Amino acid sequence: MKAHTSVPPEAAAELLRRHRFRPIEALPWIVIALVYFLLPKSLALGTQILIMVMFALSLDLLQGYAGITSLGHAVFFGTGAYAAGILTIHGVGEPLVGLLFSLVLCGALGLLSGAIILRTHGLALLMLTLGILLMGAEFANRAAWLTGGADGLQGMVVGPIMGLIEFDFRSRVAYVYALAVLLVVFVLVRYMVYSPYGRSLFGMQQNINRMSSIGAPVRSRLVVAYGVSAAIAGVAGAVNAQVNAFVGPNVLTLELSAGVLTMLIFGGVGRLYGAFVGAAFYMIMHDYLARVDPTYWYLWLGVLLIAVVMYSKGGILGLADKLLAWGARK
Amino acid sequence: MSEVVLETRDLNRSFGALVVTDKVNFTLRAGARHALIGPNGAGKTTFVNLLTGKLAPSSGQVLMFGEDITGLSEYQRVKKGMARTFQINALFMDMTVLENVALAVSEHQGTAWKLFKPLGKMDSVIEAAYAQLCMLGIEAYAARAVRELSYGLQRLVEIAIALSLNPRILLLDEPAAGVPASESGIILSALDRLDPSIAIMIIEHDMALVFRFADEITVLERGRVVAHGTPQEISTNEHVRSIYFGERQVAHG
Repeated sequence: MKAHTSVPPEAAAELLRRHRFRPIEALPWIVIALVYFLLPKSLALGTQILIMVMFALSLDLLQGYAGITSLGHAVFFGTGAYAAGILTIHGVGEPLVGLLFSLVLCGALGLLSGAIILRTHGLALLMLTLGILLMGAEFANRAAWLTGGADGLQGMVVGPIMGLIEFDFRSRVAYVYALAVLLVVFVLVRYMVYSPYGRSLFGMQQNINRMSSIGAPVRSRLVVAYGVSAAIAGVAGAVNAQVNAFVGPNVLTLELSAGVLTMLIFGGVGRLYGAFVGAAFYMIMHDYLARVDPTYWYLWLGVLLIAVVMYSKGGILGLADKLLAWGARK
Repeated sequence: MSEVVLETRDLNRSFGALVVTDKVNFTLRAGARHALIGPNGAGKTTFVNLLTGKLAPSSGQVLMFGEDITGLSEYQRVKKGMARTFQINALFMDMTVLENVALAVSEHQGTAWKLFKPLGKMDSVIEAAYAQLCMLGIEAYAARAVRELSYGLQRLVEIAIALSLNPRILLLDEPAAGVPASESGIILSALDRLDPSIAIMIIEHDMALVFRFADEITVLERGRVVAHGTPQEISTNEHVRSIYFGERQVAHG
C-alpha cells in the first residue's frame, strides 16, 4: 500500500480498504464453479439463476447505490431479450454480437427514458417506471410482426459463440456462457460502485440536496446510472433469450420487475452480493415449492418477504452480518 | 471598498399570492462578514435558496462577480465558487466524516466522474479532505460514521464540507442552530478561523454571535429589506427595535 504523506492510515481506513478484494468474495464464484461439476443435472436452473443474478445486480446499482426505486426494470430485460432474439431471426446468430446489440440499444433507451423520468422522484418516479414497462409490454403484444405477439418469438437460430462453441442440450455451454458474461458485468459494477462516481451515487441516495450543493450535476449523474443499469439488464435479457432460444411476453411483465426487486431485497440491497444470494434463494425456493406445493408458492413467498423485510433490513446477507457480529462478541 | 462578489437586483419570489422575497437588492463584498437577520418567516432561507439556485426567482437578477447567474443551476454556481451550509444538517449519515468531505473535494477537484479508480486511491482527494478536518480540529473523528457524532460536531462537518469546496462566497444558514451551549464554543472558534478573504453571509438568530461575527447587517422582514448597516447602526435603528429585538434586548446588547 502506498503511504499517504499526511493522512494517518487509521483515519482513512475504510476508504483505503473498502475497494480491495476480500477472500470471502471468492465464495460465490467457488460455489458457481462447484455447481458445474457436482450438479450437472441442475445446470438449466443454474443458468437461469446466473441470468437473474445479473438482472438483480443491475437493479442493485439503481436501488442500492443511486437510490432509484423501479417497478419497471423488466422493460430493459425484455427489450434486451427481444432485441437479441429478433437479431438471430434476421440472420445474425452470433451471440456476442447479440449481447452488444442489446447492450447498446438498452443503454440508449435507459439514457433516453432516464432523461425524461428522472426529473421526478419518489412515487411519481415509481409510477413512471411502471408506465414505461406497461407501454413496452403492450407494444410487444401488438407488434406481432416483430415480436410474435402473445405466442412469443418463433424461429430463433442461435449460432455458435464466436463461430466456434455450440450451445448443447445439457446447458453446459449455456451455464459457462452466462457465468462469463456475469463475471465481466460484475467486475465492471464492482469497480463502478467504489469509484468517485459510484460514491457520488451513494451520496445522492443519502442526501441529494447536499450533492447539488457540493457541485454535483445530480440529474445527469442519475441518468448515466440509469443508462448503465438498463444496459446491464438488457445484456441479462439477451443471455436469457440466447440460452433458451425463445422469448415470450413474460419477459416484459410487472411480475418479473417485482420478482427481481424481491430477489434483491431477499439477498440484501446495496451490497453487490445481495443479487447473488437473493436470486439463488428465490429461484431455488420457486423451483422447489413449485414442485412440492405449486398452489401455495405465492403464499410462502409472501410469508418470506414479510419476514425478511420486518426482521432483517439487510436481507439474508444483513442477517449473516448480524450473526457474525454476534458470534464475534461471544 | 472591496469588490462586489455577490449581488441581487430587485429579486422577487412568490409562492402563489404569498410574496416571500420582495424586491431585494443585496450586495456582498469580498472578505465581508455579513449577517442576514429577521424574525421567523422573514424569508431568510428562501433568500439563500435564491442565491444558490435551489429556487428560481419570480423576477430579478442574481449576479456573481458581476456576471448574471440567474439562469445557472445550483451546481454551476458551486463551480464558480459559491458554497453553503444548511440550517438542518444535510450530511451523508452512513458515511465516515472523512468520506463526507472527500465527496465534496472530489467534486471540487473534478474527479467525480471517474468510473474505474476507487475513491480510496485518490490520494490528492483524501489528503485535501483530511487537511480540511485538521483545519477545523475534527481530524480525530475522521473514521467515525457521521451519524455517531454529537450534533455540534455534525455542524462542524457541515462547515467542513462547504469549506472543502474552496469557496470565495460562503453562505452559512444558522451554523449554530440546535447546538447545545456546551458545544457552541467549537462553532464560534471555527467561524473565527475562517479565511478572511472569503465573503461570508451568515443567517443567525443568536444576536450575541451576530454582533461578535458580523461587520455588516441586513434585516429582512416579510421578504423585504427593512434595514441595512453596521451592527452599531442596526442596534440603534428604531424600526428594527420595534419589529425584531424588543427594547429590552437592545438595551444591554
